[in-house]
Amino acid sequence: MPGILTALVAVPLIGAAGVALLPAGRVRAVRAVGLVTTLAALALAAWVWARFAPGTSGLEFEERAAWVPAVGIAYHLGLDGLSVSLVALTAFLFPLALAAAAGQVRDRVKAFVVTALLLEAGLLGTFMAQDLVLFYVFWEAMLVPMYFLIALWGGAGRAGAAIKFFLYTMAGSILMLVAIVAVYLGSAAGGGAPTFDLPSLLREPLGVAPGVQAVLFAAFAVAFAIKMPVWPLHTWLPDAYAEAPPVVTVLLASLMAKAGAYGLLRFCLPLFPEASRAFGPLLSALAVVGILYGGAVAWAQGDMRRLLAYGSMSHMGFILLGIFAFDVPAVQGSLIQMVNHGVSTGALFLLAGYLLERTGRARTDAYGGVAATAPALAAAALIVVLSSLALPGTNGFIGEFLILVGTFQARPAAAVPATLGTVAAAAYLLAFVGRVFHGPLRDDLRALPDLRAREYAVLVPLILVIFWVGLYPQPLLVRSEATVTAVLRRVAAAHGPAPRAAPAVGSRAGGGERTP
Amino acid sequence: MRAAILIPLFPLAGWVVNGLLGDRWGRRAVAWVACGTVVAAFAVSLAVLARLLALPPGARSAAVVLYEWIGTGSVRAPLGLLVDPLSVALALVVSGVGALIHIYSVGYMAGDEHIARYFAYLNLFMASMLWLVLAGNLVAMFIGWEGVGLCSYLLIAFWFTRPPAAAAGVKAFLVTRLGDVGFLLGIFLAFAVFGTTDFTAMARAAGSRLPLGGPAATALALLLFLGATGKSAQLPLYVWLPDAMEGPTPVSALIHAATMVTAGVYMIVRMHAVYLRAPLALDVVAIVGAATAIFAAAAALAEPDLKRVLAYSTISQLGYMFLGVGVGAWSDGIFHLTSHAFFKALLFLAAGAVMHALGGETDMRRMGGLAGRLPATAGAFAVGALALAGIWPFAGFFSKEAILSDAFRAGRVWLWAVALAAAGLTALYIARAFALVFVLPPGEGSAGPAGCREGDAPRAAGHRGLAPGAEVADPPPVMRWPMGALALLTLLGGALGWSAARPGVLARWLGPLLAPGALRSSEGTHGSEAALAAAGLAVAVAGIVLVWLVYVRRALRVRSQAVQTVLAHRFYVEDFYAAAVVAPVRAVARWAGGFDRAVIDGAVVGLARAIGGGGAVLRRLQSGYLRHYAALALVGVLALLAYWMWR
Amino acid sequence: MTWADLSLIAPELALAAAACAALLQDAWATGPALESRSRGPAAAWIALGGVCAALLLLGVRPAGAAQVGFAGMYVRDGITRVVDLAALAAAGLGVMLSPPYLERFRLPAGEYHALLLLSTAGAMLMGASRNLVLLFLGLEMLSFPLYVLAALARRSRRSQEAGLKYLLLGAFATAFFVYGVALVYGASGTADLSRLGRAPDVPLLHAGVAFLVIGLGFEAALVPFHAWAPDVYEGAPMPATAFMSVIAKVGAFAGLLRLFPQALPQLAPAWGQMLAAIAVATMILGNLAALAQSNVKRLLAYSGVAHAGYILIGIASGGPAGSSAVLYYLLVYVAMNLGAFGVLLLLERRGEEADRVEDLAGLLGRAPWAAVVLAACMVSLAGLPPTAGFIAKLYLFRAALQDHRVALALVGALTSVVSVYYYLRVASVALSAGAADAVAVRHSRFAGVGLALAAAGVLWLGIVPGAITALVQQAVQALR
Repeated sequence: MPGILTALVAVPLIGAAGVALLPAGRVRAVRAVGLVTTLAALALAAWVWARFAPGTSGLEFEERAAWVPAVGIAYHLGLDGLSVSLVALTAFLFPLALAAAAGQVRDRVKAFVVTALLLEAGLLGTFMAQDLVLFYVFWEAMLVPMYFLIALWGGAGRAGAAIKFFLYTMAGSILMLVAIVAVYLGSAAGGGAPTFDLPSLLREPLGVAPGVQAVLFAAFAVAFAIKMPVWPLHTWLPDAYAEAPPVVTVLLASLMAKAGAYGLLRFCLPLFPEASRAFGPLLSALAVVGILYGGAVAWAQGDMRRLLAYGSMSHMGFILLGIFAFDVPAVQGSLIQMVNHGVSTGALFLLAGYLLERTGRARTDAYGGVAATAPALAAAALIVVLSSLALPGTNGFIGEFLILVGTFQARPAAAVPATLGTVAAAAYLLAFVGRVFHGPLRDDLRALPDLRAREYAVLVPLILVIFWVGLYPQPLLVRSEATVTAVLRRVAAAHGPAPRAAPAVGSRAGGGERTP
Repeated sequence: MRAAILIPLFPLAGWVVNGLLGDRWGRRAVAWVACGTVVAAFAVSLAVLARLLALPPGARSAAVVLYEWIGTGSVRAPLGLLVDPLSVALALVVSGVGALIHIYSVGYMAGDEHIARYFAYLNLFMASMLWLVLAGNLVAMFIGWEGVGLCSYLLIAFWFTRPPAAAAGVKAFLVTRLGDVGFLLGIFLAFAVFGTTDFTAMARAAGSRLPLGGPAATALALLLFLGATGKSAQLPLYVWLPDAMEGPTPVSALIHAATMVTAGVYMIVRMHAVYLRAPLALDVVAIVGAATAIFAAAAALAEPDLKRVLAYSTISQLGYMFLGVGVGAWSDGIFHLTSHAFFKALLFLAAGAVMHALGGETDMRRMGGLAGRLPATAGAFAVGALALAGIWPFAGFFSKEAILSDAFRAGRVWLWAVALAAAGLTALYIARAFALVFVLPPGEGSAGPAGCREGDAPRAAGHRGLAPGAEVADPPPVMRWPMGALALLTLLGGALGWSAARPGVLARWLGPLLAPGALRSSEGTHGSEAALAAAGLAVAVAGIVLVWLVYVRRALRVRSQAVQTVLAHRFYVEDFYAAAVVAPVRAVARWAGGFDRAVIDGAVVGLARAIGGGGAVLRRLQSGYLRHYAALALVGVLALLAYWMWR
Repeated sequence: MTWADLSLIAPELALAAAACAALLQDAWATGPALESRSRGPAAAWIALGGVCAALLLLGVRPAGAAQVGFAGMYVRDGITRVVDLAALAAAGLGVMLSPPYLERFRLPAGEYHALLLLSTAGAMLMGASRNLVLLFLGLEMLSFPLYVLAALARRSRRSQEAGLKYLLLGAFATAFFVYGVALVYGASGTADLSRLGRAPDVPLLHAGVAFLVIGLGFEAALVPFHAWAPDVYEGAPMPATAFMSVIAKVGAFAGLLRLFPQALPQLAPAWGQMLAAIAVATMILGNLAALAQSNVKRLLAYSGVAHAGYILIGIASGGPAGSSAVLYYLLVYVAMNLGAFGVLLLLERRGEEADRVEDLAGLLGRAPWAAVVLAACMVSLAGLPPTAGFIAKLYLFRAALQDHRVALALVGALTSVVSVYYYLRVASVALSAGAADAVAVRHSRFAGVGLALAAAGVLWLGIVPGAITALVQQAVQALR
């Protein structure tokens, strides 16, 4: 089906236009159109995901058209192992978020749905763009709707949180834009025409000096690191996560954070292999700091959204750790953990949203014994918490296990403290469960309603994915294996003595043979 | 052999069914499903046992691979089972004892409105535990390993509205998870060393991949043992188990006595090929085991809470098991594991019957003289206590003697002596408990201000403790029968490990798997064995006599305030942890939270403020006076001219 | 002067004719009364007709080689065409967006439109200058009507003050410009820009160039010649502010383009460095000062200063890349700035201009499309995709890096981040809930079409910029 990726971006845009033309008063119709649109995008994404042929490292469903030929900017979309599952994740989470929003956003619904659909288009485009400028366009195009979602529908401190989020992330990404232009100019060093096209850029090494490469890498990496966020570039996160409406926090934590990690894999590693290797230890160290620091700070939080926010940051540390281990299992783990984190953290924030919606209380000590009055809510929360603390059998384990086992082979000094992060995760997550759901039932919570049918409809798919990925992650792993191997081979082969991953990657290229 | 997958699957199905639908069904249906699935698992285990028996001893091992679970790059971990004598033996013990405790629970939890949740958790525990013992590689085992930890957490915190129960659950999870960090790192190291974690493959390759006594083998063995100390409540990670008694008593019997806590022992036996390459690690295991055995036995001496006495006892007995495997006596470790499963479950169930009769009271100082009023319970407890104390002919005698003599014959005389002393303490504390609960008149134990009480279950009557003239009766048949069955097993269990000519039944059954390379120096003879047994028996009897003298006859008085204080605080270990671990971690977390706001975020906000302040300053420059503007422009003119002139 | 010369300046002539017609219509409609009465759409239609005619005349001309007329003073080449396009777009939008305001505040429409058209013609002349004298003429023709426009609200003291300030400071700057022309002529013996490239490298030339920068820098509001802008923007009637904010930039940067990259490439290292320094100062000051503003007009004034700094990046970088970036940016700036002003022009707070940020509150509920247009323009001004402002900035960064002016690109990038703060504040207030009761929204089909065109421009230049980028690239081909 040619043009399907364009369709994937276009469907939310068309839906947004459709919603915009509806009268603002017809809230039900607005919601319905929004939901149908996201479901249509989900159908397309599912089709693409199913048809994606594992085993090839190249782009599939590629679409290319001239966009600004005068400066070599192309409209170039494509999917490979790095992005196919993230596209599916995005399309999967949006209908759920919109469904959950029906209970939480009652004001200016039409504008909300339009903005959310624009965000979806931006996110999907970000994961599919293969041209640097096109990528940047989508990258910032998702930032703008997100800003408005926080600033217009958030909590009391929304204005400050939204602008902090925006300025912080943009400060990183604008430097990336300058670096993108520098890469573009550098690509002409060999005498050819400069290009923004990623596959063309990767065809031969970038014509820049090593020092410049390091600077460019840093510019890209900082942009992505802020988005993830990586310690110590994270302080926009607790404010944004806590002030955004809960469903928006879901999108923020589940999808937007992934864009950062994805960017590292998509751009930093292949474009700047030597610099990636040089910066690898530093980033691994930051990842470990982030894991432990995030866990510790999460434990000390009294606001559940801040607790989950720091927890989310701690978990993103694992993803960063895996990426810069330059080891196939670790990077595979990072990729699958992006999906897992999206599902699990998304579900956690959804549940926090359900609690907020019922009581308006954000502080955990304002709760107590909720499990006694809302057992299904508590059970769902427990399952999600367990997946988030990487209990084997749930999705979280697959990701963290692969990341840690891979990192242990490549950087044992980083893997050992990072493994302690699993204890930290258990500590703050069980503290969350303990404070909210356990303990004596507070009198003012006796009437707290349990999950409603609509909420079941949102949570059940997430929980099914939690177990599916936990028990049978192969469909995700096989889709990304070839691409990951190719990227790592590129990193390893740049020149000079390759890191430990190199021979292993080479030997694994033959495809899934069991090593003795 | 593929049928073996049904062993964990049956309870898993029970979990799903009871978890999703249990609240809508009646209690009877829930109970039938829960017990039925476990009995079915036991039946399948028996069938698998029969299949194995039909095979020649050398061929009794089958790998059942379900599907590739995790597979990318060099990391491959199939979801698979290993059906061999060891796993089947454990599966039988687990499902058998588990089935009995499930049945007992039907009576014990009869008054609880959350019985569906209870049985769902219990079934999930059975599934996890059975998966743990049947799993074919370390990663797959880790599913069960963490699964049982989860169920332990859930069941300890079953009465979650009680803060102590909720806190105890979290404590159990966190402390065991700390150990699991070691286990995980062990898995990583195993991947690094072997490229796989398949048990059979590792056992085969251990000799070639791991140099004897080399750092890899020692590290691997110690990391895995760290996991075991957490799960099996050994020093220094034992602290969660006494608190775990906040859970319902059948849970304590099943999880915190008979099955889960023995997972560490099982794991070491499973990985014995690796441990054989790491003598240093084995010594650590043995020393930790012996130290735990005597430490926990001493801690049990002054404990006023009946269940916590049993908890410390469990810790102590697990220490014996580790001592056994630490000296290479694999099958004797499993033997003690089995007999301990019988008699400790029995003790817990009997304790549960006491609590059931007393409305949940667990403080022994509020009990007394119950032997007459609860004859069946007293009898069951007595059988368990005698087995625990190591009195012939109960199962505990044989299994403990086996370990003691193994330690002695392995040349670890010091460890043997410690273990022997621990045996004396064991007899002492369990006899004291029996005396306080069943023999002495009420109130003898100088009741404390507030008793310990289990649960807020609306079970039994409103009274607590032993009110004069209250109705106190033996439990109903559904609870009595499992106790009877366990008492019988306790009585007969010794036959598993003991026969006229050692090795016993169990050792021969496990033999093909474990025989190569047990560490013992074969100087032992029948004569010395008899002497060792006599010594053990004598110490146990001495302990009982001492209790009789001190508590019943009041012939002796122990008057050492210092010793009592130290014992009452359990050697201050928990206080030490609170001060040296928990408080600093809490402080660091709080400090990091403040640091995050004040410094890291402060820098960002400060930068923003500075920029905004710059804006405000510039705003003030805009005076509105034309002359200022003209002057400013003139400055610009001069600057430009200067630039062009002196460029 | 030949017929060919006249046909060369046909677009400017069309504007001038329309200006005269508008004035005459005004006079006829007003009759003997003291106050202008012509508030109807007649003047607007006439002006629009003039703009359309000019556009048509622009369009019928073949796009081939450069044509020179008026004895080499006037050149019609690719740059001229793009500058004309920008100026005419500014004029057209300025005409279309102002009627609601002119009606409500009883401003003399005939004068307004006539002055607007004349000023436009001035900017176009600057873009077509091939001689310093014509550049000066264009500059004066651009700025004089603007002085009057600033003071157009006769009963408003602020307006009068603005007009006077503008006039005095403008005179101050123009004097330097004239002196600069004289010095350059003295140094090189010619005022012909195409021959300045061979001028001897003497201090006199340098001093002349420095003075020329002052005259143009004043009109473009470059630091430190920017001080008039906030006061004048705030005081002038809003349609005048809107129009002058773009037309002055179009003219001034067209002049700078003609002067530096085109006429003085041999001095590129020297003026490049100077302009880079000015650009850095302008970007920083403009953006920082805008942060503290609560008045949208002042905010946009400082934003205009900041954008002047951005555009100057292109001039400072020189060469085809820099020049085309400047041209592209001018087009984009016209669309986004007038779009933003256009929305403000619809508002009114109790008989006054609604020019405070909080006056915009709740706009989404009352005029959703206007709110969306305002948001889009703010996003574009902030340089964010998928709007035109992004592509324009991308071009500038490309030019700067190609010329190895990394610092320029970095300052431009980082100050853009700062600018986001105030632009998005405006946008989010407009999209927020709640409403300022005192503020009324006027609906006008005329202005609606204008807003739609501006918004279309902002999006079109951002999403499918291919055609226009090709146009500007082609325009600067003649440059080395």
